[in-house]
Amino acid sequence: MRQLAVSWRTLASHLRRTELVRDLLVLIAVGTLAAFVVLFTGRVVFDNLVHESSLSYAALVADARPGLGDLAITSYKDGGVAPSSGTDDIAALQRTVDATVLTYGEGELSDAMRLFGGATISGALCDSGIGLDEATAANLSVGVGDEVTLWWPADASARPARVPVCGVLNPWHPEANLGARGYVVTSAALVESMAPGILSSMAGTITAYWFSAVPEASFTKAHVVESVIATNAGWTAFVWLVAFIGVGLWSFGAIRVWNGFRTSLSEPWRVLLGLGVRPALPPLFVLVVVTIMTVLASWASAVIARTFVLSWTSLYVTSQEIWFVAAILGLAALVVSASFVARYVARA
Amino acid sequence: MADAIRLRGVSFAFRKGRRTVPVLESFNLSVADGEIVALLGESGQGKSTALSLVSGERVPDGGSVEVLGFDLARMSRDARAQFRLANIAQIYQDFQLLPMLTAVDNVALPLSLRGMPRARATDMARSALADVGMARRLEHRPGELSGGEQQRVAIARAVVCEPKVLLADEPTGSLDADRRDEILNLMLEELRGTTTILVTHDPAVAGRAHRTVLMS
Repeated sequence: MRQLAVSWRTLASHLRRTELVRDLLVLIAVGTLAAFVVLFTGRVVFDNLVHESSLSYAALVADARPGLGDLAITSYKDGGVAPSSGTDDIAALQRTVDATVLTYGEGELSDAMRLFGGATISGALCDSGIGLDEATAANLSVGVGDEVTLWWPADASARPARVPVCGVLNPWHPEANLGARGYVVTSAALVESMAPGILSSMAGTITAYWFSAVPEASFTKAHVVESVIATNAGWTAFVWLVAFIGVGLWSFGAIRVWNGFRTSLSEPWRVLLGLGVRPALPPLFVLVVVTIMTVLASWASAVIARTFVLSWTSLYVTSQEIWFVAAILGLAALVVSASFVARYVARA
Repeated sequence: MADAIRLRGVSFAFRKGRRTVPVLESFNLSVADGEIVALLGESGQGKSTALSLVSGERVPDGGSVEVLGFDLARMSRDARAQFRLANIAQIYQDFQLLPMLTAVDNVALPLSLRGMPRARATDMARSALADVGMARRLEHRPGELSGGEQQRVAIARAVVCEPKVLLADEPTGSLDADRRDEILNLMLEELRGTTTILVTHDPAVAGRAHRTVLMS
């Protein structure tokens, strides 16, 4: 341990501050490009997978008849969510986000909370309000306790109604589009109280969920996750190709940083080996330094890319996606660095 | 006297991709305990390579390298490094001092690597530097020292470890004629009695050794 401390302290004293800052900035610049590419191409698949895997159920059957399963959710695709002033301001209704409204039956709030519990970011579902997806909540600048307008753009007879937001859930884009669609979870009774007869006039899709025993010929969560991936197969191939290019650029950046340190530390590295320091210690030091830099740069790149996406596009990027992107970049850099260490240790 | 260093039938080649450049073939060398042996020859004869085999930084492709009774070729990489740290000191033509450390820190470094407390290592380093006439330059970095002064620091770094084996690769190669004899005398005086291999292309330097091995 003493040899490690002395040798690493010696190597650290030979690091140039300007070189560290310069390399960190280069990594952030390249990383931001890579992060943007990964975010832009992979976020829909990622969001779908995160949502589906966070729901708590054992099996589901789509288009089931009412009364089947522990919980039946009816989905209506013609909903709309607008700012709260939309009940008396037509201009506000022009900011409507098309939404899929998922309703549960009377007395099923606890089961609905159980199903969506893992997907709930803040607050909780309630019978007197709605659960709203995170992207739409951010779009309308609302949170738990605020109000929004819920209405049915396709039905002129249904009046817009103001409803409180009880909970915010992770985003889900069932139509696999780029985040322009929201979703709402609420009780069927609340919807009927706002617009009597509206639900019976629309075509809804019933999905039944079981929490325990898995009935035959039903979909389990694993099936649904596979379906999400398969549905996005075209996207997935494109995602992998573009993300590979972005991560490849990032990896070149990490290689450049590694080679830069190897060159600038070559003199103390050689002296230490000549004195009798264990051969693995100098490359391990560089691995630690490069890993710290790439972790910092990964996070900074993901945050900057997210800021760019939020500022310049209509897309919403969740905090989970930042972790996802930072993890991909960090892992890629670690693989590059570890391969260099292995190569130097093998040569020594 | 028993042999402190023994190379038997040593062969070594550098490999670059598919190219192989043989440097040593069936090389034999014996150095008795306390003896100074000069390896004399032109560039490219394998003198420095032979030193690197004795120091354990490289292993031969064939043959054996025994130092102080240990067959280095049979030791692991880490074991060779530990052996080098404990028993061998090296002096180089380009001094190989750490540019960001002061003279006293450069000299104390091998002691610290061995586990000696920093304060004691620093005291011993100061004493060694005083012995080589560098008492007034303790806090100077190598970039602030002349070539002769840097080599004095390198000699102090070798001396402070009390090595059993000294390997000197062209120790006066970077110095002008005035400093050459001065540094050589200092090195041989401070490390008197240490088993030494001295690599040089200068017959005058080789003449200072007990025995000269001509490499061709």
